[in-house]
Formats: sequence, C-alpha cells, structure tokens
Amino acid sequence: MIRVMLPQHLRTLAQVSQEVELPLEGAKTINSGDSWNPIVRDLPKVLSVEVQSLP
Amino acid sequence: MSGVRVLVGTHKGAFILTSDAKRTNWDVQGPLFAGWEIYHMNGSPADPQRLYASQSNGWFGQVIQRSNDGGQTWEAVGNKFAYEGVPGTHQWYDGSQHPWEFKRVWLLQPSLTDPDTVYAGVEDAALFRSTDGGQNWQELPGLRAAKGHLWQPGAGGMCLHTILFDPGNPQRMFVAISAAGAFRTDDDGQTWQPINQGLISPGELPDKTAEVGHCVHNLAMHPARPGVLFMQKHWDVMRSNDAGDSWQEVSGNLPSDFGFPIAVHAHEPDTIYVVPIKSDSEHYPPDGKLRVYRSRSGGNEWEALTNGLPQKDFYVNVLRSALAVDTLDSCGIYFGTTGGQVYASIDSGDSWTPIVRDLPKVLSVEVQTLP
Repeated sequence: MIRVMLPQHLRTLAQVSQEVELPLEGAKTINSGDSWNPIVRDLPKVLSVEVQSLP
Repeated sequence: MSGVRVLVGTHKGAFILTSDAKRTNWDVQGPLFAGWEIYHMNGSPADPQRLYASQSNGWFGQVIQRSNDGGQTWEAVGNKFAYEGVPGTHQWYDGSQHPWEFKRVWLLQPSLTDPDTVYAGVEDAALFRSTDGGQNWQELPGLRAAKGHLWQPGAGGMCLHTILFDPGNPQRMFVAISAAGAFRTDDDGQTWQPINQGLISPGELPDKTAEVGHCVHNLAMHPARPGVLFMQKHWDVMRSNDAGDSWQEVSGNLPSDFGFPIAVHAHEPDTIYVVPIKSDSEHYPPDGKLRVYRSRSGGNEWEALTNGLPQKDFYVNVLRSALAVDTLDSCGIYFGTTGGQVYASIDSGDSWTPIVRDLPKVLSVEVQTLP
C-alpha cells in the first residue's frame, strides 16, 4: 500500500479527500527484470553489488 | 524571448541544457565530446554564442574546444600550454620539491569585453591567457613568482580553479589555487600578491597562518561590489571587505564549514550560497541530507534550503565549479552533483527541481542568461 497526498485542484478533479491509498503487489518489483525501481538514488559511485538471500 | 543555457561539464562528456525564461521545460543536448573529461565549459559575456570547453583524457591529453554558435558546432583550437622559462619546482606532498608539470585545464574564463580573450587556470597551477580565441596560450608567470615554490597539491591536485575579474578595474583580477591560496593582480596580470591574511589552516599547514599554502576551494564576488569577496576554504567560509587584504570567518551556524562551491545571488550582493559537506574525508552532506545553505546577510546567519532536495540517503558531493546563478529577474540557482544530477531553483533557492538526474559525475556548471 502506498499513500499519495494530492494538491487541492487534483482533489477536486478526482473527488477524493486529501490522501488516497493505492494497493501495491510486492512482486512487481522483483519480477525477473520486467520492471525496476530504485532502492536508493544518491549513493557514491557504486563499485560492487552482491545480494544475500536470507532465511 | 530571453532564456538560459546551462553548460555542464562531466567526467564523460559535456551537456547543454536550455530553457526559456520560465525555466520549467528543458532541452538536454549531449553528450558532446562523449567519453572525455570536460572539466569546464564557459561562455563569453561579450558574445554568448562564443563558448570554450576544456576537454581532457588520460591517454590523449588536453584539447581546447571553441564554438561560435552556442555549442551547435565545435572546433579544436590550441592545446600547447608551456610554462614560461624554466618551470621550476613546487612543494610536494612530503615537503620535498617537485617539478612543475602541465596536466590539464581546470577552468576557462572568457574576458568580460572581448570574446577572443580567454584565461585558463591549469594544473599544475598557473594562469594562461589567449588573445586569439584559444589558438595560442601564454603564461602569466608573475603569478608563480608569488612564492610558487611553497605551493602544494590538494587532494585533487594543484589546480588553479577560480578566476574573477573586477568589472570596474580591468587591471585587477583574482585567482584561487588549491593548495596555495588566493592571489590578486592590480596590473593586468604582470605581478601578483598573496591575499591570505586572516585564513587559518591548523590541520593543513605547519604554520597555520602562512602567507601561502592554504587550500582555498572557491571564491565568489558580486560584480556590483567587487571589493567584497566570499571564499569557501577547505574548512571555513570567509569574507573579505577589502579586496582580499584581510579575511574574516563567516561560517556562523552552518552544520559544517567544509565544502567546495560558493556563489552570490545575481541581484542581492549579500545573499550567498554554499553546500556544506561533512568533512575532508567524507565528501557528502551531513546526515545524508542535501541542503543548500543561504545567507542573506553576507555570512554568519545561514538557513537550510531543502524544498525539492533529497532529505535522506544522499551521499554524493557538489564540486567547486558546479554551482552557478543566472541573472534573470527571479534569480536562478543551479548545481550539479557527483551523482549526475543537475538541480535548478528559479526562486533564489526557495525550491528546487532536478533538470536531469542521470548524467555522469558533474565536474562543472555554468549558466548563460540569453537575451
């Protein structure tokens, strides 16, 4: 679930209150590369990445 | 209709970002000179279509590029930077003397009045001038006569990175060198004097108040008040009210007084900007929050500008030549990061928006305000 704050003119257009909630399916970010999301954007130059799958 | 052209030098090419005066929609041109380090790209105040770029590469050396059409086409011009006479030696990291060796051009500063006259600040630190549009370069050797044997490299090399002209006095010019300090000429570059009185560098120099050797990171001035200078030193933000004859610290309430760039608002000579970095070994903002700091009182009292800037997990840097201002009525502020983002504010820093996010490491940002 993500929560989105809307400015006044969009709230009026959408006829919603200040905040809307949208469901997210967690698998969408881990789908063998079909789609991607940044985990973090502003690190120093990345020299290596490894992943541990934890029990 | 007026507009702006933002000239971005990166680790792997140059980019030109253009917009109209609203500065909401941007056209991104580049990479130019793809794969080459572009330490600096700058435009002539006398002819905005005349641009210069410093292109360098560890394999192929230094190339100076020139454009006569605002960056649409380019031609390579002169690349011979020969020190006058016997180059001599400067201080090395271990205190020994080391031969002066040309490495690259860090900065190109075109004259205020003549598009064919341009100055180059180089590593190893020296100042060169061309009066034929960059075809031929002559050193102004009087600068290195100002105790050059005591200058030493900073962590990024021994570079001349700042050149400021006094708009009211064509004989007067200021330069800054890491790690030598700030210098002034009052005779069009023939002779120079160190202007470092008041700088204190206890962590870097055996004599913390030495006449030369200070690691000055950047200087800034407002053209309407050229006797007032602002400095971001290795540590400490400084101000001079007497054209560099003396300096006072104005770091005030900054969260860190270490940083690289400093800039002055186009229309408010006492409004200045810095980007504090945690320390000399940790080149990212304190607490992982990207905050530009603004003082409206010429220093000492600072406010954090955060609207639109990442406030978590930000661990990249803003280099010394990567902060610039335009001269439109609502002053625009621009900076680039070592993570490849270029941010703009069109309201003097109150709010910020990324123009582009995923460029190579940004080495320099300059802005031209177009008629």
